[in-house]
Amino acid sequence: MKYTAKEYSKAYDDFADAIFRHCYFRVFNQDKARDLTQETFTKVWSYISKGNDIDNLRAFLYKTATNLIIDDSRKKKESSLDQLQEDGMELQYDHQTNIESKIEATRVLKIIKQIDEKYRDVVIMRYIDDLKPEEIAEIIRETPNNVSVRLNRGIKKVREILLQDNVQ
Amino acid sequence: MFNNLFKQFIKESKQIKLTKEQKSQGCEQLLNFINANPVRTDLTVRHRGLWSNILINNFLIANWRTKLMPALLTIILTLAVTGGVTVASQGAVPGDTLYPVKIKSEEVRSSLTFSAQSRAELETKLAHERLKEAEELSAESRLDEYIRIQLEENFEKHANRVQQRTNEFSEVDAKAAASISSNFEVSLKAHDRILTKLAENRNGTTAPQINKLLLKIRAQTKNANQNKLLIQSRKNLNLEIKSDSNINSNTEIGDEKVNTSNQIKGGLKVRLGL
Repeated sequence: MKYTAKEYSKAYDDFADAIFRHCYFRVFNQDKARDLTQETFTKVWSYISKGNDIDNLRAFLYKTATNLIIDDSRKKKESSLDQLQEDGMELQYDHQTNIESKIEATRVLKIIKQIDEKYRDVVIMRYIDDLKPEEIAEIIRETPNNVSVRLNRGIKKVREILLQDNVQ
Repeated sequence: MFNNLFKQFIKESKQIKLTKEQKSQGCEQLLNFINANPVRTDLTVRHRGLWSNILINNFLIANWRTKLMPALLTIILTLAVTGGVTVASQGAVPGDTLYPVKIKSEEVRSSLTFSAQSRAELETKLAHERLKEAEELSAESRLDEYIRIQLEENFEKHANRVQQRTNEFSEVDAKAAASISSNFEVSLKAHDRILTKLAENRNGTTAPQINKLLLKIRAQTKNANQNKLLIQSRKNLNLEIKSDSNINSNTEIGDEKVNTSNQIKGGLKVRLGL
C-alpha cells in the first residue's frame, strides 16, 4: 500500500504512543525514547517517499524502531541503574498531576525490568501493544512458533513476578 | 488472582505514553519532514492505472537493460532505415524496386493531411508526380501498356480527388479553391505539351502509350477548367449578393491572371447553359 502524507500523519496519531512505549521499555530513557520514536517515523517516511510499498505499516514501524534501538544500544551503553530509576520517576503523563499514575508507571517499569529481556519484548508486543504473534515474529525475525514458546515462558515469568510483587 | 493482576499491569503499562504536547510537537516535526521529503512518484503513481503501474514497475524499470534497451535500439534503427528508404524512394518510377515504397509513403502523407485545402494541394502534387514519372519513362522508352495503365489509374484517382477537395472547401475559401484548380489546369497543360513533344520524338510502342495517356490528361484538363469556372462563378455570385460594386474587381489567382468580370460572364453562361 502507498501512503499519502495525510494517511501517514494519521498513522503517527495512531501509533506514536505504542512506538514510544516500545522504545521506552527498552531504553528506559524518556528523551531517548522520544528521539527514537521520531526517528522511526521519519525513517519510515523516507522509505515511503522513495515510492516503496508497505503492507503492514504498524509492524513495519515496530521493526524499524527495534532496529534503531539495537543500533543505538550498539553505539553506547550509558544507562546506569541510578539513571533508570531517575528516568522512571521523571515519566510524564496525560494527567501529570495524577500522582497515582506516576506510581503505577514506576511499578510497571519495575516489573518489566524483572522480565528476562528475551521474553520481555514478546510479552510487551503481544499484551501491551496487541500485536499478533505472526507480526511479532516478523518484527523480531523469529518463527511464529518460537514467538509462541517465548510468550508462554514470558507469561509464566510475569505471573511469578506479579504474584511476588502482590505479596510484597 | 493472576488474571486481575495481569489486567492491571497491562492497563498501567498502556498509561505510559507521550503527552499531548509531545505528540503534537512530534507530529509537527514529522509534517515538516514530510513536506521537505515529498513522495517522488506521488502524483504520477496515483494518476496511473493498475496496468501501467505493473508495466512501469515490472517491465520498464526491471527490464531496462535486458529487454528495453535492445527494443529501443531496434525501433531507432528501423526508423532510420525506413526513413532512409522512404527518402531514397522519392525518385523512383514505376518498375523500380522502391516504387511501391514511394506510393505507400504518399498514402501515409495523404492520411496525415486533414484540411480540405492541404489535401487538395497534396493531390495536385501527386497527380503532377504521376505525369512526371510518365515523362521520365517515355524519355527512356520504358512506358509500356502495363505501366501506362497503372499510371493512368493513379493519375485519375488523384485528379478526381483534386476536384472533389477543391469543391469541398470552395464554399469556405473560394479564392484558394479557384487558385488550386487553376494551378492544376496550368500544370496539366504543361505536361500535355511535354508529353506531346515526347510522343513526336518516340518510335515504336512508346508513342501510342503516350497518346493514350494524353487523352486522359486532356479530359482532366477540361474537368479542371470547368471546375475552376464553377468555383469562380460561385465565388462571384456570392460577391454579387454581398456587394454589386465588387463584381468588376480584378483578382489574381494562382499563376494565371484572371479577369474576374470576364470569368463571371463565362461562368454564368456555363451555369445558365448559354
